Amino acid sequence: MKTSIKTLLAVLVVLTVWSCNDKVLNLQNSGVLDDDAIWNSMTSADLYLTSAYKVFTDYSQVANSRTRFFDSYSDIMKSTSWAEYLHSYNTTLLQANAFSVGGVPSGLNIWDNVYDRIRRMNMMLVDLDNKEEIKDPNWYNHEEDWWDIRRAEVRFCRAYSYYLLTRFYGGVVLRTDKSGVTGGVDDGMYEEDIHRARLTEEESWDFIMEELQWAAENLPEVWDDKWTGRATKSSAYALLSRVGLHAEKWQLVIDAAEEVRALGGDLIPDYASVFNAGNSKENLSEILFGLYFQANTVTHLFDSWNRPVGDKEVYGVSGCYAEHVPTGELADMFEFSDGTDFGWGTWNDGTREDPFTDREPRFHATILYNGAPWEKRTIETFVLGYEPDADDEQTDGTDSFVDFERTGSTGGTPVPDIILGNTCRRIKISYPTEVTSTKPY
Amino acid sequence: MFRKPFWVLLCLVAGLTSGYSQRRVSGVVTNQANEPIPGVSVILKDASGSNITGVVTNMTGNYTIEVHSPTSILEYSFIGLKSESVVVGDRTTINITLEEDHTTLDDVIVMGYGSQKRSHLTAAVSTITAKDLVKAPMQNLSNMLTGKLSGLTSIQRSGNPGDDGATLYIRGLNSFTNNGPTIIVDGVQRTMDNLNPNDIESVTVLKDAAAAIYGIQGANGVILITTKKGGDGPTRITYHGSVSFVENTAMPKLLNASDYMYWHNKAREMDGLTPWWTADIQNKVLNDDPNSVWGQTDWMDKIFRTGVNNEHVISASGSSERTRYYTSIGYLNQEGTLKNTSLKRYNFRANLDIDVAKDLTFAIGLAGDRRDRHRPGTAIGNQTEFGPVRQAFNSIPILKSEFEGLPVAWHQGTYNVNGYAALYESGYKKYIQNNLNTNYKLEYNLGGAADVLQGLWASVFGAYNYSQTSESNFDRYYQVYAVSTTRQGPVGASGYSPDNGYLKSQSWGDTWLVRPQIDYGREFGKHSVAASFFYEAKRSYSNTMTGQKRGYYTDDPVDISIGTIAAETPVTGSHTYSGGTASWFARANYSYDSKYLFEFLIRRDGSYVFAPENRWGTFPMVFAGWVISREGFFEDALPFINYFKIRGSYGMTGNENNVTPFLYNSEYSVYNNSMVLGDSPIAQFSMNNAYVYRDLKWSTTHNYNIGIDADMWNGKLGVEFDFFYKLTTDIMETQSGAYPPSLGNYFPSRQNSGEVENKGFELTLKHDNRSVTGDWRYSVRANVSFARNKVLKQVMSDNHPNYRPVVGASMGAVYGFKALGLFQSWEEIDNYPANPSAGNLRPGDIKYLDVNGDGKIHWEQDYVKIGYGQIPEINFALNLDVSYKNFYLTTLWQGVTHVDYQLSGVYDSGVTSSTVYTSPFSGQGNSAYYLITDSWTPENPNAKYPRLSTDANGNNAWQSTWWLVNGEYLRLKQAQIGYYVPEHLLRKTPFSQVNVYFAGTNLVTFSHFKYVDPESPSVSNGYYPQARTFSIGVLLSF
Repeated sequence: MKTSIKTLLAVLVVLTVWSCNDKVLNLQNSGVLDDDAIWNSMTSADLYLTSAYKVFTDYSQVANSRTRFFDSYSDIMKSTSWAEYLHSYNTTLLQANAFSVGGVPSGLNIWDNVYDRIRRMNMMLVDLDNKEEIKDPNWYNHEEDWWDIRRAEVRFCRAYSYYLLTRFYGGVVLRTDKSGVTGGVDDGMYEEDIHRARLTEEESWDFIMEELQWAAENLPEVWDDKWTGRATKSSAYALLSRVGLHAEKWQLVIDAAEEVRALGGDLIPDYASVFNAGNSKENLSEILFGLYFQANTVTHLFDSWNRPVGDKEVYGVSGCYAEHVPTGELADMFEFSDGTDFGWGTWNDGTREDPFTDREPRFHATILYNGAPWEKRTIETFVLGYEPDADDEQTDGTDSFVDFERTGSTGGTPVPDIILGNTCRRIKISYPTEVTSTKPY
Repeated sequence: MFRKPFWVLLCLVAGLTSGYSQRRVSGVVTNQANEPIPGVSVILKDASGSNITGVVTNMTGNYTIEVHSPTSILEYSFIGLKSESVVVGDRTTINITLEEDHTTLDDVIVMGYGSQKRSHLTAAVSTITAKDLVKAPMQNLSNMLTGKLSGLTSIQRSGNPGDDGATLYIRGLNSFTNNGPTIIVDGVQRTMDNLNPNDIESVTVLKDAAAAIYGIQGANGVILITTKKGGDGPTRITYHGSVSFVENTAMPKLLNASDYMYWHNKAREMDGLTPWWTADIQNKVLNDDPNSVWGQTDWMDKIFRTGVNNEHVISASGSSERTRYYTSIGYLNQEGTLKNTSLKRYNFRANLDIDVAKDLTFAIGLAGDRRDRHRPGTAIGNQTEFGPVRQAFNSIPILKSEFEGLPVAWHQGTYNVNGYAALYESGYKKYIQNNLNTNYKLEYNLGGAADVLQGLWASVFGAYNYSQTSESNFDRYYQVYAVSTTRQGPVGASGYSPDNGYLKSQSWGDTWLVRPQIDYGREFGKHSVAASFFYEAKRSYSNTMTGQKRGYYTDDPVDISIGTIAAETPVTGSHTYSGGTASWFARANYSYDSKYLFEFLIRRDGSYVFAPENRWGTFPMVFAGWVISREGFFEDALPFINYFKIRGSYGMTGNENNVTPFLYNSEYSVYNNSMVLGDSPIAQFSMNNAYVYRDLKWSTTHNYNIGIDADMWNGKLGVEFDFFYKLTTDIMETQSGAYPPSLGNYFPSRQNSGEVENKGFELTLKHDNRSVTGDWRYSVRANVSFARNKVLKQVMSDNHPNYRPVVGASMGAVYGFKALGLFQSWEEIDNYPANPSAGNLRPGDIKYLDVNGDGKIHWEQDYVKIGYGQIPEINFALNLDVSYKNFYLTTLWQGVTHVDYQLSGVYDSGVTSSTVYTSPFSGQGNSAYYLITDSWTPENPNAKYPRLSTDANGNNAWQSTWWLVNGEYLRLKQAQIGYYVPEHLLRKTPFSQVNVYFAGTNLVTFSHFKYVDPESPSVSNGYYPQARTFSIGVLLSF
């Protein structure tokens, strides 16, 4: 009895100590994913590595960030901001204190954020080296070029990041996956890594072009349909050609463009179908690198912000702001279908019902106007019109800004009596209001 | 160290008896009031002092014991009374009167992983037992501790049932964050406020290096709670029931209808605006015009009530041959003072000690509780947008409470406000928590096997806690009849959408702990040695799932399955290990002649929080004590001092809570619909943490303590004094300034660099006395504690003004403008620097000091230190107990000083704004009398409050000396007056004890600002006030 009790106690003690330390100390933070989870399979690794492209959705012109839509800083488009003076487009255009000598207007300042992206990409490149080294038999792929294709994608995105920085700021602080004193990324732990001298602008362009050259050589010519949207050889050569313009390396510009042509790059005959991201791939010869948004639903911010305001009702999504719109001047530059110039004084020659219908195809592919077909409906930008089949109730059109401003919603809200006092009949407001361009890069 | 003195006494049986014929000795044991005492242990010893056998007295104080020899000795002992020993001789009847023991030196104090006699104590601890704990019915154990333990600060910020516990601090603050003590219930880290206070045997606070016994969890001190266990003796069944009536401790009185209209019109006039309340409206209000919405309503009266709390506890304790038990069930129904808020709590507990075999005991403790909390759908908080109390402030008293079948809501500010409808129409927030806490301990006395092993014990302690929580929140849309100066009519209540929303959250979590332990304790002549050694492993886990839906068309039932509209994110959830630690521990004690006391400990802790290579820390401690009163020279020189001990300690503790777990790994989150590739949206992984830290560690606190314990004049005066110094180093803090952004955040922004010192003292004085006859008795226990901290190192930004240093100052100090007074003229305003807010100044607004004289008042440059923090530096309390025969009165006076709170200032959101306590007609609603009748008007230039206005001026909202209130107070925290029915009246009843009492809490308060409770949170915009209670109770024992 006594012996058995002692034995029992001793066994309990030994078992406890033996098994416990590891169980209680090496815990997993299961609320989030860790390295092992990210590199669990080739599919999961791709979901991590493709996030390198987020630099495009964040900081290119077709971006989730509201301040990068450069056309709206020009005469061809304008921001429809509700905060007239505080919106970054207007502060950038109108307020002197948005500028500083040698600096970038606050609304356009991308230095910090793009470097955050660059750091992420540098770490991806370090990860790629480390994981290739391990040669995990569970998912190590025997396609020789799997690793280099991923490296080429990340370096393509990193080159684009440095391209943005060089364009905005001139020479960059070059931080790569190997620039740190430890041979990895620059680490604030080490004094030598903290402050690095800026390259000259020329050195910056040289670095970007070398990176793009390497990327172009290692990227695939085409991706499976499943991955349309990832960078190809054509994407890299196209960007290289553009960077060459900035660097004034004219022969390189020509050579890179010729590479694109050799890879099948060409204009497609139907201009409108450039914007049809959906079912057709025939436009890929013109779209050398595209950023896509989900069709048939409004999920992505750029997609929702730049829709006509009437889509708020259609999709039940509140953020349909029509945030950037073409100017009347831009719309007026599109010719009539017969090639003659458009003019507000000349359009009404007695044969045309309205100023819009009889315009060249590019107009219809670019400008939304009152009566324009859009998705499954017709654009209504009029104010205070009669619904064709309604009684006497005057309403604003579904895409009328006046209605949107007044009620915060659209979709034929009955107009309050007080406004009907200044009555006017169904007027066709003939200003083009929206652009739907998810124009590829 | 004597871990189990009674157990040892009762269970160790010396085998040898001599051959004398046995004789039966009996008698009765009484106290000085000549009342029999049940449960006295009567130990038979042989002439050499070895124990032979023992019995306990029965209900009438009688005992009978077999005696073998006339030289045998009988020893009578009972906790709280002086033990007596008599030689049996020829007697067959021995009646004994036991005197009360005022020297509590033989009390056994529960310490970390064991217990110790008070006389052998070398650490700074405070302790109370059941008798002193429950002075008046209170719902939370944390509130009961207030004022009873020196060195403990408690702050109750709310009276909301379920959230009305006190926040506790031991010896003030040691770190920038996470200053709460570790709570240990029956040997395991647990929560306090789900316990039934009637089950508590003792509460001990470890203040100095004694807390270091808890290693990485000991930096802020440790509170040890021990629940009752079964004693030897017959079954004792006790019923304790009480009813309490609950009201607000403080709440300002708001203007009534006619005063409101008068003052509001006057304010509009002063603003240069047309008064709203015309003679026509005034008539309708005063005549309660049945055809209009105008009438009279006291909105505070509408939302508050006198709550009624019921509490019932039945317990049974006692022993059978091999089992000692304590069992109880408890029920609490708590109504808050704010209508439609309540808490129900159900408790059970069963603590069993079983002698499973010779020398082997198995102890098991099972405790469970369920708490049901009910609140309205509208969130209640200090600063919440639609808080019902705030709505009552923001409404006006000249409306009917209902009109055309709808609640009437004032809608002149941003929202429709009707606090009463918010309580009853807005749906509900229901919260149910179930806890099951269990302990198991198998203990083997190796001393029973061989003499050489005497004093050696081996045990395995295990614990398992399981907790399950269910939240069910229904946001119910309701209509109100909105009234503004320009329109009236039905609208939806603010904050609710016609869809109705429902959220359900279920979570569960568990903790297990296992601890094999070896203890040794033995005396060799005057040498007393003890040692302990153990290993401990602990792990916690939690798992949550939350779902929500909209589109409900009935109020009841409401559940996820009944909703018709899926939310954008219908289900979220997480599961996570919330902790794991492993520890090694060794302790050695040595004392010589109970005169020289030494103790050494070392603990080694590993925690899951840190990187594997940096995970283990070692925490040494050393204690020493010298009982000078046992030295001959001392006894000769100072004979009136019965006991005098000097003790000192040093120990290192850690605080892992300052570091976020898992920072040593990269973490990634999933982003759904992140991009579109191949025509379909894909999810992507993105790294959360820019930097991976391998070398972060816990902060280390060095505890130094020196103290004395003294007893004088045979218990007439007891003194405990402690002085402490704590230095906390390696506090984790964040810094960012020094790195260029091109690093892309790849730099160590967290580092172990902060340093704080904390020093202070505690003094406790005790005095007990009685009249010669013993009819009158009284006792006084007074304590005062002081703790002041100072920041020695903290990362500061480069542009921090050097005249407002943080390093060298106390944490929590309040910074703000220095107010110079109120502007009295336009001329004074013209000569004033640029004001800190947009908007214009008027006479009667607050004038601030331009500290740096740059002609601009700006918070970054002109804030100065204006007050103490919200945690008092000084706590004091006076426990006064008086009894006359069977009547008794017990009172606890408690107070704090060196503390400040703000009525207006910076909200948690970071916005600086006024509150209902500082801005007249705040939110276009009503106001308290004090704020209006003593506001600045040209006729009242020496006003206590700023200009009477309906237009809230941002200038008057800034954090400043103007709205800083000295938070010191003195209050009659608890009082009880009661009566014990005399024994002789109970003889023919089944009761052995009957006690009835009246009690109260927060009965009288002296403070500087009587319109809110002095413990109120800073910058509140109408909060749930603390409660004053009046109780009647009865305690019956069978």
